[in-house]
Amino acid sequence: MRCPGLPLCGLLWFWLPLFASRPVKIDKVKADTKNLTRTIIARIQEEHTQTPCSEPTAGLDFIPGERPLESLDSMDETLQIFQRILPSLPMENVPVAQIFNDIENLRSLIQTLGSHLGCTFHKSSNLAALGNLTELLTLSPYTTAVVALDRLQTCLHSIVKHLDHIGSC
Amino acid sequence: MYWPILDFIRMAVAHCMVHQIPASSFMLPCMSQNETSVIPLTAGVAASSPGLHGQHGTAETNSLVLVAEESFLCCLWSETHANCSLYTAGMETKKFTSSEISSLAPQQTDLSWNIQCWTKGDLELFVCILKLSNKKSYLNEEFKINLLYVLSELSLEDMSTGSLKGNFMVTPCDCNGSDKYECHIPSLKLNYTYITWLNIINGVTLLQSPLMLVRPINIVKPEPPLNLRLEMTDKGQLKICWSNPVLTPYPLQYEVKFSGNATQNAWQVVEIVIETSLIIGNMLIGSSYLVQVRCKSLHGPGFWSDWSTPYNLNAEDVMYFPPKILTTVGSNVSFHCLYNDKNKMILSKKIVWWLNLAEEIPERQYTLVNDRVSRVTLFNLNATKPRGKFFYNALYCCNQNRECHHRYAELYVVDVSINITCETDGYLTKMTCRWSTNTNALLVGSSLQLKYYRSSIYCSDFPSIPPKSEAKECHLQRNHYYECTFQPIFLLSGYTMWIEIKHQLGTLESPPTCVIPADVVKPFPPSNVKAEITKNIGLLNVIWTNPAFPNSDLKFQIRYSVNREEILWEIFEVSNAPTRSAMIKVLDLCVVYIVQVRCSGLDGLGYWSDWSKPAYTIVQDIQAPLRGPEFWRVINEDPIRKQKNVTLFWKPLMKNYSLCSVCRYIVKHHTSENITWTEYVTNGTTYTYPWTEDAHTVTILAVNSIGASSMNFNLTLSQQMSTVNIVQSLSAYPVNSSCVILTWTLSPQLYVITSFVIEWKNLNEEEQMKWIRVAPNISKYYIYDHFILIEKYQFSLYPIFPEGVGNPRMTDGFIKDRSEKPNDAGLYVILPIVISSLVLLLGTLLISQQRMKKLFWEDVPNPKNCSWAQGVNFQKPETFEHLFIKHPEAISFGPLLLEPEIVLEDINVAKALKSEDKQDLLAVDSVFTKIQDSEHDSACSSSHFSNSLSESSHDDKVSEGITRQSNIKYATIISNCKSSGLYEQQKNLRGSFNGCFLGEDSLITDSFSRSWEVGNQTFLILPDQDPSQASKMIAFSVVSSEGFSEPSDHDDIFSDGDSPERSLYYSGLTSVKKNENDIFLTENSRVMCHLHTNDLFKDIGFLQDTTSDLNPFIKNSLKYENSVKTFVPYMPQFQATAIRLPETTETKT
Repeated sequence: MRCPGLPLCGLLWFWLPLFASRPVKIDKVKADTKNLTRTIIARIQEEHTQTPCSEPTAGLDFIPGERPLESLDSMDETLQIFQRILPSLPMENVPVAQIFNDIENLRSLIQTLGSHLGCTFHKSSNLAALGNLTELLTLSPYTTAVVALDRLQTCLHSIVKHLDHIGSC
Repeated sequence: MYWPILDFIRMAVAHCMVHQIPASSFMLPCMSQNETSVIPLTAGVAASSPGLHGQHGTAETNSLVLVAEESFLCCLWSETHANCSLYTAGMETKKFTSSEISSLAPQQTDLSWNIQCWTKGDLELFVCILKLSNKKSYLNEEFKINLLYVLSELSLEDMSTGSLKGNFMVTPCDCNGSDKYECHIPSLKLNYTYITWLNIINGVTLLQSPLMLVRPINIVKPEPPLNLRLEMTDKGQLKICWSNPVLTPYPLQYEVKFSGNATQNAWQVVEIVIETSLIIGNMLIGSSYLVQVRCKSLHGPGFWSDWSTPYNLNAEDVMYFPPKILTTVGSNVSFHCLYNDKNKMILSKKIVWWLNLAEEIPERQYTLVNDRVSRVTLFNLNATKPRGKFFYNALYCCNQNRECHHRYAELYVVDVSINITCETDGYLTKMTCRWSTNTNALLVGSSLQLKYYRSSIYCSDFPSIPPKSEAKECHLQRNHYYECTFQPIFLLSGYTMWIEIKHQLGTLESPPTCVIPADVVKPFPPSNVKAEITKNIGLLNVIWTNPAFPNSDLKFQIRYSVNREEILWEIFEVSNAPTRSAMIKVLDLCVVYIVQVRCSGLDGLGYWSDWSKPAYTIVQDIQAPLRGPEFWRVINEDPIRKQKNVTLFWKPLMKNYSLCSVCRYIVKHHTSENITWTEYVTNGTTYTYPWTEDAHTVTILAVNSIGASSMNFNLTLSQQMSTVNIVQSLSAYPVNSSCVILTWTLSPQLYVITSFVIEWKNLNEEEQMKWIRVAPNISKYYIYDHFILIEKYQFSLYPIFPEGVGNPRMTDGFIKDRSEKPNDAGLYVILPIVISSLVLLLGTLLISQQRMKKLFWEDVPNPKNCSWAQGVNFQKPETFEHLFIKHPEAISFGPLLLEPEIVLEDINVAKALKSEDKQDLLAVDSVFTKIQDSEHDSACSSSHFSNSLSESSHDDKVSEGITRQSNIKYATIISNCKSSGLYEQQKNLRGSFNGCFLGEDSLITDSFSRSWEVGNQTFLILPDQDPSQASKMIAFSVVSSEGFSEPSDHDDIFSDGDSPERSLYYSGLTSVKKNENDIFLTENSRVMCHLHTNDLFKDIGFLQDTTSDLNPFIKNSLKYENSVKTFVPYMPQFQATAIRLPETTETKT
């Protein structure tokens, strides 16, 4: 008296907890991503409240933030660029090292979200363009720092906005 | 100055004119240029600057000095080739040649050096040893040698001119003996390429080596292996193990050699292994073999290390593997044992294991690894308890006959459960972790270190110790806690942390714990906290500003208290995030509140913040006063003007009514003539106005910044009502100096009382009159004030009607009686009960007396119907004599006066006695019976008593009965006895009386009597008394003819636990009329009556007085009594009656 449906039932039963627990974890990842993004914004705003009225763009094109981030891949790529820029910024009043770590965590969260959605992430292609960063920082460090932090905020706001209705890569 | 040299080096490198230093020794021959047959030399030779000569250490060469025209050519000598180069002072290559080794014969060289260079095992120092092997005699003995080098990051193949770093360095070589020189290059960079050469100065002659190249990593000579030891495999095979030297930049290979005899120098290389152990089997055990190990790089070039310290394989009698184990609580460990007793190996199956020489380890924990090796496994170990200086458990491998060798294995079990707690600061930038250890539980010499591993995000469900970890420096605080700080942090990374405990016996690790900094945040407290009591609503409103971090939702706790010396906090929870304010309902609105707020993560993770700085509310008007003030009046009459002035005075409105202040009062007037006006009182709480009309109503309103009170008191003064007097009485009872009770009674009246006003004042002192308004529905009031009880006080009670104030009732002074127990509420309950009981008892006695009168004359028993009266001729004195004869047996009981005995006095008065029917027997029978045995009872126990006095059929026994147990006196007054059922009880008294009376429970006797009355028969039961008091106390008991029972002895009486009132004395005299006014005085009636002897005698006297017809009979009996000698012994027991009764009867007669 063999029951052909039994293995199938067992298989379904085995997978049931996985399906049950997955939404909970992703929801937590989403919530943590939002909270962490807001935390980074608060860190920047707390010490660096000035927002440039007219932002110079000449020569600063390599710093992302002018275009909205609409994919997890672009978020990760953008954050990667900022991770390269941040350690060079001469901003003593901003906890740059902490923001760097926060971005590292944020990238991990975004990658976790992406892996859940089956996304693939690319290494930043603009990293090569950071070659003149050192020169810019030497020539006009304040401009570079202000613009970089301002654009980072813009990117983070864009991430928060996008996370509300994230459904694909 | 360096550039030419560097350029040359670059050129030389470019032309591969550099020779790599091998990981072995090599030769450096030098010859004069004259002898050089191959290479013509034309240029001069460069030398070091004079300043460097004889100088130790490393220095930069600033210039090169041409010291001689002729120069020597040094070549690198290998087995096959000799490469030679000659450089000028400008380091230009003059000649470079490579020839067969045969081209340079040893005799052609003037000077020859044997050189060996290596990197020391500490990886810090490059060493070159130059040993002079051949020298021509014309050369001086003294050489000065310098080693010059320059660094490059790249290998020789990748080397370019750009890779040469900085200036070349010079380090002089020390002379170590006559012909041995040692050169050092400190602070090595292992993976850099060093280009180096030697300058050898002999007098004025300079010898210069060709350029040499070396990467220190390639010529490392490691430190020798350490810690050689014997271990045992799971299969019981011995293996020699060792530890790697501390610094091993690459994998090592090892060479193990054994020596069969320590005295011989015959070493034998056994094997080259790549592991840190070598199985040697058990064959070498017991031999005197020495083992040594050395190591070198497994891959690539390098030197062999020196040999390690020899390890002697000479076996002990008992060998434990391992000899010592350091482990953690809860773990399992195994020990192996090889037992060699007097050169005879003990078989493993004959080995038993003991722990601490006190506990034999069960055999089931043994494993026979092979025929010679036994293994024991200990499970789930507990922490070792130090015994004196011994911090280990001693494990013994013993023979089966319990002979143990003195050697033992040591087992150290350490509790490593160390709790690590972390806390992230409010900025979310720093995480501080704390942990502490019980130093007593750790082994001496242990060092602790926090290790951690950070995962990218989150923690795993079951944290484990990963292979790679980092150490974190922690500092011991004053509170004996170690504190480590992570800053900056990865907020959402999982930090898996544990404590590594290092000891020479091994390394232990505490259970790992994983912490996510975001989950252990202790936020900053909310700021800008403000608190106020809201107007109109009257709630405590708290607002605050959230801390900047964290950005997740928060929950809050508000604690608030009235701001006073002793602060009693109340907590209010706020979790409806997001919120920054809360409204709290508070009782007292007109006080200053102190408020603090703290916050925590809404998800419950993390810690509560500290409390915020306190905020204080301000007392202000919340609402218009809830009501106006209570007020009263004083009327002063001006006889001259014939005018009455009324002074109103009121108590300041309390804050709970004023909410929260009163700025002024409004007095509203309304007269009987319907005139209305208002007056304002800003200061003070009194107001005076003339009273002219018949009725004048005033109302006082309280006003604050919000408005006027809506509920107010009013008072009507009416000439007409002032004469109404409804308070009937008024009494004041002092309780103590601070409380007086005022009680009053009211007379029936038609008026509606709205309230009372009580006035009081000390008449002896001119203090102000005090007053209070009380509710109309009470008749007692506790006045709390400071009273001087010896002073005179006047209390007045005013009834207040809607129509006006009534006439007061006054009282001066206190009533003292009440002051004794004013608070005894039970008094009001007990007193009526006692009084009613007394009344009831008195009534019962009176009624009983009246009934007894009738009984004595109506219910004389008919001897024909009463068994015990059968055959008794009451007219003959002999009969009575017979009745009162004491049984001879009773004499044997000793002194009569000491006998606790019962004398039953049965008086049966025939009804006919009272009538004139002389035919019926008129008898008053006093039966004095001593009961010897409880079974002998002369009482009439039948359910019916005869009308005639009869004697029991067992009269003899009855009369003989003398007992100490059944000490009951009773008298029976019998009437209307229809049956002659009096019989003697053959069984115990109690049992017999059960059949006689309605219930034994209804009878409780002690030294007093109680009465029963059922039907129309009456008994008097006289209980026994102490011999000393027997004559002093008699109790009467009126017993029903329906039957009665009495206990057989005192024990039975006292053992009756259901009769708590056994010590109470009951007496009852009831009517004998059937179904008329039956009064039961049973134990259930609980009527207490103390019958003293005198009273009893009075009662008897009363009976005698009222039954005068009885006297002749009594007289006769007494006469008879006096005439019978046998009666005499009983007389003292009836001393009182014997004295009084005759007197009474005599007076009556």
